[in-house]
Amino acid sequence: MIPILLASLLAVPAEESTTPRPFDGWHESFEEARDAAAVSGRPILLFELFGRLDEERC
Amino acid sequence: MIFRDEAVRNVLRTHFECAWESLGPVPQVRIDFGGGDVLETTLGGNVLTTFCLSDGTPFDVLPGVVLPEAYARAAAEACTLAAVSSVRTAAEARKHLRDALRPADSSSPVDLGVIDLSGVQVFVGSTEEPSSVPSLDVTVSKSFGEAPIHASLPPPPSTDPATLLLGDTRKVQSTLRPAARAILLETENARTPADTTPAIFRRVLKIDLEDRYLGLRGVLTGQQAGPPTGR
Repeated sequence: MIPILLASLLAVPAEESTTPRPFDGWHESFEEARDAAAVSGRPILLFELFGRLDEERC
Repeated sequence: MIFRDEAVRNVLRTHFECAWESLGPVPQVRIDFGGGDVLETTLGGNVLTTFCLSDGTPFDVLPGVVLPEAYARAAAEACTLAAVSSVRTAAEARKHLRDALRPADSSSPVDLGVIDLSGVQVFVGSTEEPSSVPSLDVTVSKSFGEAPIHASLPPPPSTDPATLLLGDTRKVQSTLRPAARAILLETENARTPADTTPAIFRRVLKIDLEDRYLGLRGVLTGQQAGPPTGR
């Protein structure tokens, strides 16, 4: 038990990537984007595709 | 590839509320030639970008896949249109689009692939012509008139991707985008992209979203497409 506790205390957490993903901040529906645009006043860009954007090489 | 480009990300992050929606799973194609020879691939490349005012009404479209530089420029142009002070409704934005597309020589036909915003006094980013964006090609792409299934299939893997993307960009600019814009401009009562997306997919990208076989059943079987009959 002690070795396990010791190992967990000494374990270095995996370094998280600081590189932003290309789709960070994207809304996953048009309605969600429209709600946000109603507040921000920004135009909306809707990208429609077969499959999932986060699984495609777009 | 498009959205990993720094210029594209900057324009989108700074000026847009971006959303993506899936139209369904990626269609799979499997052809068994016998003797263990099987061709498996996906129908890819059919994507649509719709630019909307903040109330959701669409005012410009970009069908298909293009070079990142061309995508960034299209987004900047759309942002410029949306930012024009006189634009309050999508109908007004579409009017600006129509006016921007109208050549100086009014006797010439409108070229829906060319947009001239030189007179617009709104700055949203670089207005320089990206050096790698191909010049507009007015020649109608041969592949545009070919069978939908052929147009939907991805390119052979042995072909250079950069060359293919350049070809795709030219095809989008010369034929696909003008055709999609024409549909948008004729759909004057469009309130959301849902009002224009099906027609653009059906008439421009040759994909029928209302058909579970995407309009390709008849092409694949040599029969007229009919109502779904199950697998």
